[in-house]
Amino acid sequence: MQDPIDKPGSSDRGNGSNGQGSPNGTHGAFSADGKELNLELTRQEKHRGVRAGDTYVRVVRPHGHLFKNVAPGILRATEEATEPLTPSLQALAKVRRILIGEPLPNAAEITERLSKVKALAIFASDAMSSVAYATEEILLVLVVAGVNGGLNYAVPISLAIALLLGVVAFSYRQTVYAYPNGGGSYVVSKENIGLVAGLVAAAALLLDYVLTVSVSIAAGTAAITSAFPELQPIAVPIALGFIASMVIGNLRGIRESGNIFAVPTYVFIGSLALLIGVGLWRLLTGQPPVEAPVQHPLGNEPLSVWLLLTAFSAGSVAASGTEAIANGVPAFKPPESKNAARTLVVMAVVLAAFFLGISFLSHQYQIVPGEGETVVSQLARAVFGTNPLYYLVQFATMLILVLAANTSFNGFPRLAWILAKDGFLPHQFSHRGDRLAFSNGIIILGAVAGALIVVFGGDTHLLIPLYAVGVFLAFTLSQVGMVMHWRKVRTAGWQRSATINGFGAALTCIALIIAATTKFTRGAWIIVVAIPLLVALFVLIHRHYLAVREQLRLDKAPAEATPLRQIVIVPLGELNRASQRALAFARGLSAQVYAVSVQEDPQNAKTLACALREIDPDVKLIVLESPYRAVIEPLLNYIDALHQQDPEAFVTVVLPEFLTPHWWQRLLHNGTAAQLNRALKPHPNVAVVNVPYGLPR
Amino acid sequence: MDTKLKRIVVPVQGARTDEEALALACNLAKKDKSEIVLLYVIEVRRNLPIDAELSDEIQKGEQVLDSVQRFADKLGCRVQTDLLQAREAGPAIVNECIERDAQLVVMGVPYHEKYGEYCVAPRAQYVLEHATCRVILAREPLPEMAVMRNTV
Repeated sequence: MQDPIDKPGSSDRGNGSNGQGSPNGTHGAFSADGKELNLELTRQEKHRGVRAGDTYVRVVRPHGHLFKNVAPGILRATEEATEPLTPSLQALAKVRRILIGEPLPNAAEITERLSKVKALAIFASDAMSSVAYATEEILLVLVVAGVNGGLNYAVPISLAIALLLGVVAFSYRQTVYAYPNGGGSYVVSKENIGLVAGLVAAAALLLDYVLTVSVSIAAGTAAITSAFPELQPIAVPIALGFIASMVIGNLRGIRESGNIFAVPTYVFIGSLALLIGVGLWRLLTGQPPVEAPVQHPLGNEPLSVWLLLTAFSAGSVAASGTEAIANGVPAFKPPESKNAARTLVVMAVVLAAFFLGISFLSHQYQIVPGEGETVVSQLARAVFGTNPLYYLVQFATMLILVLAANTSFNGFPRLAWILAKDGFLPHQFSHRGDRLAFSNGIIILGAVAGALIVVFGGDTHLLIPLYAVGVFLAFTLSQVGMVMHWRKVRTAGWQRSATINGFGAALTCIALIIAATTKFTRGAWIIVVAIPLLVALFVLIHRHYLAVREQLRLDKAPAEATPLRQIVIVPLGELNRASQRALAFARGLSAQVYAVSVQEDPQNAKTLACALREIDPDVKLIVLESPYRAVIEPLLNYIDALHQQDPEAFVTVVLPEFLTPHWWQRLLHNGTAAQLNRALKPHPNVAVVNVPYGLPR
Repeated sequence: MDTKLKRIVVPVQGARTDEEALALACNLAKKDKSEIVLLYVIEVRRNLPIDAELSDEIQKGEQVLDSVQRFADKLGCRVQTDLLQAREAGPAIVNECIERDAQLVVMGVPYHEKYGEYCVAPRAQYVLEHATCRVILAREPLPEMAVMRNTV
């Protein structure tokens, strides 16, 4: 039989008989009765074994389920220690866990990183989705000069856009290596051109991300309501449902959202590869279209350089979304930059191949855009006929249009996080949620995009012209920034890189000017107004953070901390167990304690004075008679008056408070302590201490 | 004879065999829903008192227990952890098994040779000889050299 020699609590680790104290002195706290407090929450129990001399010591951690001892003086909170304590909050936490999953510790961050396959699905869905409409955008411009051979320029314009895409992708590939912490256009512009340029790029990208979510979700919803017109009246709730599911999916963490959203992206990639492959094969073997395209009327306007430039600008939306990978480099598995660069190259190649393939096939099959059917739909009918493969292409297109929003759900929170770290957005954006995702960024993006959908009644076509301006502004700034970067670092071959980036900057700048001029009156002016406003907001926020930091900064040689002189006040209504406890607490803070009582009836004051004299004659009672029945304001004014007499002193107000066991019982009381607490909070020289007294029933 | 396993003790020491032993214990624990206790013993040098505050060793023990506990979580297995200080690990393990009324000890044993012969580590040897409950030793697979020697 074994007997514990020391009972629990009888031998603390801090009392180790070798005399070694904790290096950081965390054992130095004492409880009220002088007993040393065990701050490391660990104690030793001596046990005797079966044989003589078999003594051993058990290191007992009674709170081990809540805190792990990592090192002397360092405790790590477990998942259980982070659980809410009240039943209502616990229920809420359960719901949250069902929706977004179990919380992940910081150490799991590395396992949340994305493989190249998942990253392509997450970061490329926006860029891929533009394949579905970029060719159509070009043809819609050129068709007005269709009679004069305008449509013949679709393929050369597509080639020029593919070249632009290549240059932009090349530029971002360099960015990925040069700036492995992410940030894309914002960081490149800020570090190489200047702060304002960086903020302009950030504002443009944030707006682009919001618009992408609204427009792509609305487009996906439109595809559903087109197929099922009876759902048209509930288009807005459907769109909001899509956004909510994306918010929840992304709150589950980037890896899991990758699992959820990867399949549709690859279905789209597969179906388009099949469409282009079969289409080319039919052309090479001289087979006619399965279904001849509908011959829409052609326009008779003259073919001009302006028209070609407008078509180029319209088709350049194919390049939108390219920057997402450069923003999210830290989300990749190590080696982050290398994996991100490879994913970017694959995305650019696939994107260019699909875009050129669709443009080439559309030209060969003489597809003309018109009301009621998209170019991709016409092409799929021409290549497959109206069979399951056609429906697969259409279904995958609808999915990718919705999923384009997912890229924004990864890009926006990351960019907001970087801006918050730099102090240009509220620090709340740098908060990582239960699943290590940037929860606040995800929720804000969902809320703003949802609000746009509600405001525009689910029809966000009006927002499409706003897109290009922001995208090309960010591209141009980023490429100019890279040119300056090359000039600064002058690594081997820098002239070649700078030339390519310079060429890209010129191309994207032309696209920007054209987009801004052709679309200005159609809504692009909103972006032209919104970007400076956002930049001004960033600057305001930054100024505030700088001012706070400056005011809180410790001096280089801080003065020795001298104890503050304090006046301790205990507001009393009546003498009871709660107020007696508060008085006892106050006596621990200072030898001189003042009880202050605001009384409507002078008789009550006399009773209180008598009772107080009996239990603690050293406490001086000040009675504030209040014939107008106010309690809070006279007390506040009295505290102010005291403080004016001794501005250096700190006023500590000790508030007696009793806690009822049930929430409904709280409704039956005035809650004066809580009111006083709220009223005194803004006062810079007053400390409020609530001394609770728990009522058992 | 009652073969129900209410409690299984798994001594760990930060060795490569810890996880293997735990996996085995978890499998055995499933049937009877047995409680598993992970045990780490700090061996205190004779020139120090038995209750000496050995911060570094305790920290290492906590880390080993934490790491094995995370492995147990991956296996879906609930475990308790125990940290002891003793002059020698073997007696402490045996005494703790008696104290906790364990029905089984599962020990991971690294392959170890002495003078060209396989030998069981002293702590495992002690537990095999003195434990009042059943003992399972999970020895790691033979290293390549030993396999070659045995097959020649």
